[in-house]
Amino acid sequence: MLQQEVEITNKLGLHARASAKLTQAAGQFQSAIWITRNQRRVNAKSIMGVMMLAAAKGSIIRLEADGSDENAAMETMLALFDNKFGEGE
Amino acid sequence: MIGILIVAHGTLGESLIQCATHVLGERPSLLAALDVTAQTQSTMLEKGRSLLEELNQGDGVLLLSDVYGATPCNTMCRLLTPGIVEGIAGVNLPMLMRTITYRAEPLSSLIGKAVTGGQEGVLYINSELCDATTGS
Repeated sequence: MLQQEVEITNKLGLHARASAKLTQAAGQFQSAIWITRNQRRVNAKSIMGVMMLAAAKGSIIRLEADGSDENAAMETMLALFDNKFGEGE
Repeated sequence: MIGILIVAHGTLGESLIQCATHVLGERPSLLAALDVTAQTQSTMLEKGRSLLEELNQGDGVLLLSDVYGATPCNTMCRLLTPGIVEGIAGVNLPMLMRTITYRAEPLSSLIGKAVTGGQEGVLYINSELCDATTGS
């Protein structure tokens, strides 16, 4: 199992469209992927779960990936956060 | 893939579809809205039946209506076929998004996912929840 902490850096945080991109990306992998913020742990493949984190800019979340393709899954997830979900700010 | 038909007052159904399209980045397939008013119930029923034929690709259709006991929901009741065409009242955007997410699952399990998605999307925003979204 892989896990890593990430800071949310895009202006709008994990809002609806960003959550949709994240869950669509997570859904491509066999591995179980989880996101935790403030003791709330949700399935990264569930858009409503991810939105319930209400993670604003500056929030620190923990990503976990567990499964046969966990390396690729973690890499893809981190790239999304690093790229600010393609939002530019 | 299970078809989704929103049976609601006025433009609510189409508006919900547009909101989901905005969030997801593309308009989901096999998703339609039926605008039902008291004046046009009989013609809307016919339109509903033809929409069901289009939306049912073999996996069934889930109907989402707004208020139980109102004309759209009463119309929806006449379109139901247990196990094939099922219906839920109280549609909201969280319910629609959850339904779209899990529509590859069997209709029997999608019903529960949709209902809990709609219920869990109704929250009193106390100061704790508000602080979480603004980061302050």
